[in-house]
Amino acid sequence: MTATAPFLIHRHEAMAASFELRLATDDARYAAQAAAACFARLDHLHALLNRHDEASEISRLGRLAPGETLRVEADTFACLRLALELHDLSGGAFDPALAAPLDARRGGGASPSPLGPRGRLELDPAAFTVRVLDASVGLDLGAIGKGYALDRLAEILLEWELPRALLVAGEGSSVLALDGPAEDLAWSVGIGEGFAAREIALVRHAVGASGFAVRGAHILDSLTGAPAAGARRAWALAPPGAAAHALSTAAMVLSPDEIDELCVACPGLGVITESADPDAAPRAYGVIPVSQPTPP
Amino acid sequence: MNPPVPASGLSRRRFLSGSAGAALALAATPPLFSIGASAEKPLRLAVIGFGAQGRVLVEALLKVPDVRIVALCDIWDYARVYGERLLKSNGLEVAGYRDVEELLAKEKDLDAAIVATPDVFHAPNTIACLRAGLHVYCEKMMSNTVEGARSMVQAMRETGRLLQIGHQRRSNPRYLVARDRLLGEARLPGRITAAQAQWNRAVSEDLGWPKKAAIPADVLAHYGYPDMHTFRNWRWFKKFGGGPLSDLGAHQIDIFNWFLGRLPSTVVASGGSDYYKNHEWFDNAMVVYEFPLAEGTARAFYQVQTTTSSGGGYFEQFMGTEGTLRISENPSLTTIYREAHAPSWEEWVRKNYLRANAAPAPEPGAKVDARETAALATYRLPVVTNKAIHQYHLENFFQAIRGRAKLNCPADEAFHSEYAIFKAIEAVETRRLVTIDEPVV
Repeated sequence: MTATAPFLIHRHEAMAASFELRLATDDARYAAQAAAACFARLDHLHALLNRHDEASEISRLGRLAPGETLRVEADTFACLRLALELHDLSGGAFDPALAAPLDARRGGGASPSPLGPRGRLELDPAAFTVRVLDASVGLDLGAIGKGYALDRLAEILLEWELPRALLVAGEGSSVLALDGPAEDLAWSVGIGEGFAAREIALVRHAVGASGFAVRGAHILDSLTGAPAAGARRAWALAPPGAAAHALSTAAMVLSPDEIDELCVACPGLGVITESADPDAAPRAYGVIPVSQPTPP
Repeated sequence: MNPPVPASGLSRRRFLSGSAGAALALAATPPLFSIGASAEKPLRLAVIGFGAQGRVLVEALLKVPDVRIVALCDIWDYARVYGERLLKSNGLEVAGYRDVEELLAKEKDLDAAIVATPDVFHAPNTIACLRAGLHVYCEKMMSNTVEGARSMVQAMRETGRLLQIGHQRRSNPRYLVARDRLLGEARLPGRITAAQAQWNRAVSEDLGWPKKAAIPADVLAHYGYPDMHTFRNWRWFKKFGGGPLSDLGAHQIDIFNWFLGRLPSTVVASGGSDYYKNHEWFDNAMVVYEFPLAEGTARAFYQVQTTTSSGGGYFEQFMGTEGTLRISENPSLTTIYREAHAPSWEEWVRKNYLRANAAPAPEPGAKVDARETAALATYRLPVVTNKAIHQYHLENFFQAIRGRAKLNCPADEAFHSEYAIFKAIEAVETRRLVTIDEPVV
């Protein structure tokens, strides 16, 4: 069941997003110190993964010429490796190498359509190196960067023995629930608006949300180079591990049949999509945690 | 916390991605090669101190070819075990130690030590390593006392070993170009009349620790710590550190001295423990130095605030009659401004000493176009770095060990510069103008 229970909130800004920790504990000072430890880690991840900082490792990777190699920190490597795995798993629907066409669109231009052949990355897990092949690769880890960060912050909270926590990034675009705020309680996460709104009870589960409702058409289909033509909004729900945050982006791009296929490929994954038709009911795929309509 | 295990990719997109000319962006592959492989014998290193700064240095060291960390020392088991795991994940099995003395007694095949302990331990640890025959890279400040810093210079001279101090901006290519070309050769600011630097941070909770990771009281007492809070927040206590002017100001006041080519002659300052009531060191300070330069006096203002992030972050700025150089380790905070009356900088743009952020305005003619307001001319450095900010300074240290470079910040030069910081602290504490004489080692 979900219900309210007292919790403390700590906020920080990084990765062009707000991060929020909701910690259910009576020890306010200990919670503040744990949050400070989390945010110090977050600032470091920001420095590694923020593509808008020319000193970040992701920016440096983007500047490599074909044949060049960069040795990166373990966090950069792990996040990039996860991004590649999810790129493959989603058949390319989640694509972390769209920095250049996204920048072109933000600058008022159009991304080339189709995108055409692009460079490739070769990862050496023994040496933590990334080598660029064929052409430079502009990376934008986007949602997976925030999801990866939430997972690392969750590790710190568990290390500090503060398991009753909800972690939120980007005002809700990435949510990670650890244990509920009290015994037998789950965290309540709202999904959708209007008649389709529902609340989902989350414990040790993550939600990623993507859509065009807030930031416009900023998600591209790498097959066409055009804005995603699937759902208007999409949510992916999965066990912790940053997958939900990337796969909600993928669900914006994929067809209903492909989302079904994705859920078969990912045991434990659930997806909810909302179409552009305001009268159409949301569509659910895979495994959705217990939910109930939001009270009016 | 593992993601769902992929069973297979999606058929349609997988088919498409494998077809000719498709937009396949990425491919994870098995290891094909190893970076930094060479015939050169690796330098064997011990890292002493694995707190926040020790971790930064280790991450940078892991990117340097031909060096190998073989020993790690920290009195906190929690930090040391974290470090050992990090290094193991990078293929490095290291010996862990709590005591420097034990490390030096057992590790007989070391070339150098990296010291990143609390300031009070810099001098004894560095001197012990130098006397054991090691070259040493020690974090700044050299010490929390002038005497401690001076003893390090003396040990460097006695042993003939190298001692590099971690003022890492001195090896940063962006800072080198700014100092040597823009200020030195092109003299873009004209006559420098003022300088300003700051490092402002938002208010923060004292550092804590996971309850299960507390150091036993007898171990803390052995190293002089009354409790775990003091151990974690040593920077705020006079026995262990030098306070914010030392922790943050040391980097930036060093840039005043290095860029202007001399020590200041006087300093006035004000600061206090006005916010945090459980700290010994002041939480804010405002400092004004006078630099008697050949062309006339320049005044340099430095502020450090630990209760507000206001004021544009952290940077050093040199202001002159023809322009201003604002530089920061964060490239996005670096900008060069030209005064409207200054001579054209097109020559320097052509020589690639700096780059214009926008096309230059056309030379005035008979006709004036009526149009929207244009932005004032700003410029940026032509250098984009591709390494971690500490990596250049560490590499300079290792190149010096191999006889291929001079140290960019040997201990005697660092002591000379840090002397001005000790004098600023003295000015805060005595609340009077302090004269800065040439320091004697």
